[in-house]
Amino acid sequence: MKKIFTTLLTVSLLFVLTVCSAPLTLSSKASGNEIDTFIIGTTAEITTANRSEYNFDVISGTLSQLAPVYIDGEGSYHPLLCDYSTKDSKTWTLTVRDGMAWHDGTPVTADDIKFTFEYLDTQGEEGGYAERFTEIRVIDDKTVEFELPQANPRELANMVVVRIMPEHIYEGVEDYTTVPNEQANIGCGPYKFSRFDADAGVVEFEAFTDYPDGAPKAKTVTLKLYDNPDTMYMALKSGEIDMVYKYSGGVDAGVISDLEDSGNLTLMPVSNTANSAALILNNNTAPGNDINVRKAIASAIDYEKFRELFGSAYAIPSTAGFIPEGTYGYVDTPVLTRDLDAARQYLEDGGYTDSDGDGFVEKDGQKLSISVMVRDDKPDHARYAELLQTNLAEIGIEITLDVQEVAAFRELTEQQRSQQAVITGLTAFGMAKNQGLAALYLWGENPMSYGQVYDEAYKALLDKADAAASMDEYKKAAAEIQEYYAENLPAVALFWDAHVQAYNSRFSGFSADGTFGILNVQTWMDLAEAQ
Amino acid sequence: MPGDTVLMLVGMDEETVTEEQYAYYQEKTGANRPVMEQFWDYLKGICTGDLGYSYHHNADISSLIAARLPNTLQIALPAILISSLTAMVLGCIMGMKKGSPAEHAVTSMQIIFDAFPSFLLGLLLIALFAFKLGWLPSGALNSIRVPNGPAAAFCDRLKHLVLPVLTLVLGTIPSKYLMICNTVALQRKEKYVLYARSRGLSDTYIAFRHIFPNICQPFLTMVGMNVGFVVSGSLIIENIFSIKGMGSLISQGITARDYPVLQGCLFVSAVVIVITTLATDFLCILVDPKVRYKVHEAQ
Amino acid sequence: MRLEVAQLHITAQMKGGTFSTVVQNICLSVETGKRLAIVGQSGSGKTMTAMAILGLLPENCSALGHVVWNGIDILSLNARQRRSYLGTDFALIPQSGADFLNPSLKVGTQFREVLRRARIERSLQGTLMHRLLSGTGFDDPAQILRSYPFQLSGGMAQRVVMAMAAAGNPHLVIADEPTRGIDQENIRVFLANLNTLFKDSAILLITHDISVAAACDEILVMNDGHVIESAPARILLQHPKAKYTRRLICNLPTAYTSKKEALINDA
Repeated sequence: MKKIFTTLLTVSLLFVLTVCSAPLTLSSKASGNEIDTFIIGTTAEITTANRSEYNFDVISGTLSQLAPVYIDGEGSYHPLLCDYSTKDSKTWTLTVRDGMAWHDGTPVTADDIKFTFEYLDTQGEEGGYAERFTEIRVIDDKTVEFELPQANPRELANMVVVRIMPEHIYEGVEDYTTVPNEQANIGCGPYKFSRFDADAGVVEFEAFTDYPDGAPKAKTVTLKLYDNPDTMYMALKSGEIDMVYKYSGGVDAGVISDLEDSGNLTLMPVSNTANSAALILNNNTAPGNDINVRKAIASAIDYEKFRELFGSAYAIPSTAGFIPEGTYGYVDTPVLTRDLDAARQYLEDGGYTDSDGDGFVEKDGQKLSISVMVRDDKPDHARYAELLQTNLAEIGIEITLDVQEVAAFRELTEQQRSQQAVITGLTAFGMAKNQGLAALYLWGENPMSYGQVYDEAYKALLDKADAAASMDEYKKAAAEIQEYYAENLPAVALFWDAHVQAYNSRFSGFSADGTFGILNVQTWMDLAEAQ
Repeated sequence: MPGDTVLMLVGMDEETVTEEQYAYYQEKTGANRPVMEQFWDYLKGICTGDLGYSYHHNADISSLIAARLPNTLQIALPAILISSLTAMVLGCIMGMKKGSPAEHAVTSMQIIFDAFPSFLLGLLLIALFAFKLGWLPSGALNSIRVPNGPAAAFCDRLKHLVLPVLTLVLGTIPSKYLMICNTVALQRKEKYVLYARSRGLSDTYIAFRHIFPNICQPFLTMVGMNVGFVVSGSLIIENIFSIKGMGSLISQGITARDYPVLQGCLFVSAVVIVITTLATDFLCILVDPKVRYKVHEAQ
Repeated sequence: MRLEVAQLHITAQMKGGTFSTVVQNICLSVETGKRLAIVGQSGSGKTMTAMAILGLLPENCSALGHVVWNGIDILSLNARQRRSYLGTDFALIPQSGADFLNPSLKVGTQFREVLRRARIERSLQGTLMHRLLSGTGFDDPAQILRSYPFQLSGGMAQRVVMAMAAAGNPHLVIADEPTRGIDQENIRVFLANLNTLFKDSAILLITHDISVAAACDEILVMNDGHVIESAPARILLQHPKAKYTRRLICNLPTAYTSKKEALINDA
C-alpha cells in the first residue's frame, strides 16, 4: 500500500513538472533596434490599475499620461504635452503640440487642459488646481492661458505633475474612481494601457505608434508587481526583470553591493533633491530657539558615520544650506563637519555647563534634554536618532527618542506643534513647494512646519522669492535663503544620498527626469538593447 | 481606538479635510446615527451578503473577499491535504519504529524544519527552483502570458502553485508529524497491537490498519482546525510569492486601520471556523463505532 | 513437531537502567498432539515465557537460552524471521478476547487478516470463517463477523479468538489464561472446542484453573520465575513433589473436590 502511494505521488509530481513545462522566460528579444518587451519590477502596491489609484497614477505618468511640461535632471523645464511661454510670469500660455492625440484617436485640445484643472478640484485631490488661478482662458483649440493673481516665475513646478485628462471621457462623471480601466487609462503618452492581470501581478502597456515624436523603442512595457523586495531583487539578478523602479527613490542601500556583484547590472546614481534624513528643531520652543544649541548640535554630529552606516556608496556630505545640489537655485554653502571643540564652545557661550557632573550640561538648573520625534513606519529614522543620541552625548546633550504612529505624528507636529525636534524625510516635491527651498517645512505659519521659524528676517527673504518676476531674481533670493540657513541652522541634513537606479546592462539610453526618475518619455524614445 | 471614526473610515487627514467634506462623509458613512441603529443595519447587511464598503480599497468588502479568498484556498487547501497525509504516513511508519536510528534521523530533521522560519524557507525555495534552476515561476498565480486553452492554463496555474504550496507544506508537516509519531509510539503498548503482532502482521500494516483508526479522532481534530483557520490566509507566503490573498488583506487592514475590512474578514473567518469545528466534532463522533451502533440500535 | 525450551533466561531493563531477572532456567517441551499446562501465581513469569517463545517480548526485555522448534533454535533468529512463524506455525489465544481485539475494526476484518496470512483464497475465506465460528458454537456467524468487539460478550469474544487462532492451522497454540472469569459450563465448552479445533497441534495452556490443568497431558509449575516442578498431569495432581505445588493445588479453584480431599488427606 505504501508502494502504491509513493508511486502515485511521484507520478503526479512528474506529470505536473514535465507535461506542463512550457518555456516561461520572458526575456526581451531584440529585433534590429526594437525591443520586444521591457519588464519593470516594483514593490509599489497596485490593486485596481485605475487612474484614481495613487501608485498606478504615478507610474502611468511615466508611460501613458502626460503633463504639460517636464523638468530634467538639472532642474530645467521643457515642453512635453505643450509648448509654453510667458512674458511676465503672471500669465502663462500653453499650446498643445502638433499631433498629440488620445489613445482612442481623438486629438488633444486646449479644452482638455482647462477641463483637467477644473475637474481635479472637484475630486477632492490635494493641492488646488484651477482655484489658484484668477482665470483660465481657452484661446483656440490648441491654446490656453492661465492667469495667476501675482507673478510666479516657478509656476511650472506646479504644472509638472498635472497629468491632463480627456474631457470627452470624464465630463459629467461625478466620481472618477468609477470609470472602468479601459476608459480611465486613456492618455496621450507614448504608451497606452493594455491590461491589468491581478493574478499574474502585471500591468501591461503597449507602444502607441502614432505618438508625434515617433514610436517608442519597446513594443511592450510590462510592470511586474512584487510584494516582497527580496524576490524582486533576485528576479533582477537572474534577468527575469530588466529593472526595478521606485517613485522618488532608488534601490535599497543595503542591496547595492549585492547587485554590483551580480555582474550583469548597471547602477546609475540619480541626483536626489529630497532631504530624506533631516533633523529639524522646533525653533519656536526651548531649547531649539537658542541658536547656540542649534550650532552646537550641528557641530557635534558625526556626519561621516551617518554616511558610512546609512548611506550608499554614493552618499555625499551635506552642507549648512540644507538644500541639496541639483535643486534649482542651489548655491554652495559650508560643508557640515564634526568639530567637538567648537560644539562645546557654543554650549559654553550659551551658558550651558555640567555643574553636577552627570555627564550632561544644564542651564538654570535645567538639564539640556531634547526629545526627538520619529514616525514608527520608518524604522531608519529611529536608528538615525539613536546615532544622534550617541553623538550628542559626547558634548553633554541628552537625546530621548519619541516614536509615534503616523496619525499621532501628524497631529502632534501639525496641530499641536509641541515637539522639540523631529527626524523625518522631506520629499523633493515638498521641498519645492511654496517658495521652494523647504519653506513649506520651515516657515512657522505653514501647516506642515516642523521648523516653526517665525523670524521676520526669514519672512522677508521668502517674500522676496515670492515677488521675483524672473528666474534670475528668484535665484538671488534663493541664494540668500540658503545663506540664512547656513547662518541660523534651523534644520540640519544628516546626509545626502543619490537615488541609485538598477537595470540590466543590456539596456542603455536612460535619462533622468527631475520628477519621475529614469522612467520618462525621453527614456522611452532612446531606449536601446545591446545584442 | 485612536482617530476620528469618520476620517478613519474614509482615509482622509484632519488637516486637509474641509468642513463640507467632513459633513458629507459623516452623512455617507452614517457615523452620526445612534450606535444601535448602525449595528442593526450591519446585521441586516450581513444577512444579504453586504459586508460594507472599504474606502481604502474603493470596493465592496464582499467583492474584495470574494476575489481574494479563492487565491488563499488554492494554496491552503492542497497544502493542508498534502501535509496532513504526509505527516500521517511518515508519523505512522516512524512511530512504530520509535527509538530506531531511522526514526531519530527523521524526527531530528522534522524538528529542524520546524525551527525554520517560513519566509526563509520560501526564499530558499525560490532562489533554488525559480532562479537557479529555472524550473518553476518565482511568484504570482499566472504567467504574464497565459497559454491558450483550458488545459494549458490549468497547468500554468498548477506550476505557480507548486512553490507556495511546498513552502506551506514543509512548514506545517513537523508539528503534525511529531504528534502522530508520538501517539503511535504510545499505542504500541496496547493489547490489540500485541495480538495483531501475534497473528504475524507486519509493523507497517499494524500502523496503518490497526493503530491509525484508533488515533483518528485527534488527527481529524487537528486537520479540521487547520481547515478552519485557512481563511485567515498565510501572510508570509502571500508576501513572498506576491499573491493577493486573505492574509495580505487582513494585514493591510490592520496597518491602514481599515476597520470595515477587518470586520468583514474576521466575520467570514469566524463563521468558517465555527462551521468546520462543528463538522470536525461531528465527524469525530461518527468515526467512533460505538456511537454509530448505538444510534443504529436506538432506531 | 516439537517445541523444546532449554535454559530460558529473560531479563528486563527497568527505568533507571537496572536489570532484573524475569525468569531463570526455564525448561519445557511439548509435542504436536499433546497439551502442556503452565500453572503458577500471577507474576511467576508464565506469560513472559510464552511471549519469549512467540517472539513478542516487550522492547526492554531480552531472552537467552534455547527455544527449539522443529530442530531450529528460533531464539537466534532475527525479528523478521521470527515473525514468519506467527500466524502460520504459531498462534496465540489471548487472555480476554474482548480486550485484545481492535475496538475500531469489525471482527470480520480482523478475522480475514489471519486467513490472508494463511494464504487462503478470497473466495474460500467466507466459508471457512463461518465454519470455524459455527464450530465454536455460534448460530449466526455472519452477524458476528459484522459486529464490532464491543458488541460481543466476554464469552463470545473468547470463542471468536479461538476460532481465529484455528484459522491458520497452527502447529503450536499458546493459550494465555483462556478461562479466566468464565463459569464452569463454559469451561467445559472451551475444552471441547480446544479438542475439536486443535486436535493435531501442540497446546501450551497457561492457567490458574486446576480443572483445566487437569485436562492436559503435562503440568509445569512455576513460581517467581523458576520451574518448581514438572510432571504428567495425573502424577502431579496425585503426588505433588514440592511443597509449593501442594499449596498451590490446595489454593487453586477447583471442581474436583474429591481430588482436593485426597490431597489434604495425603498431606
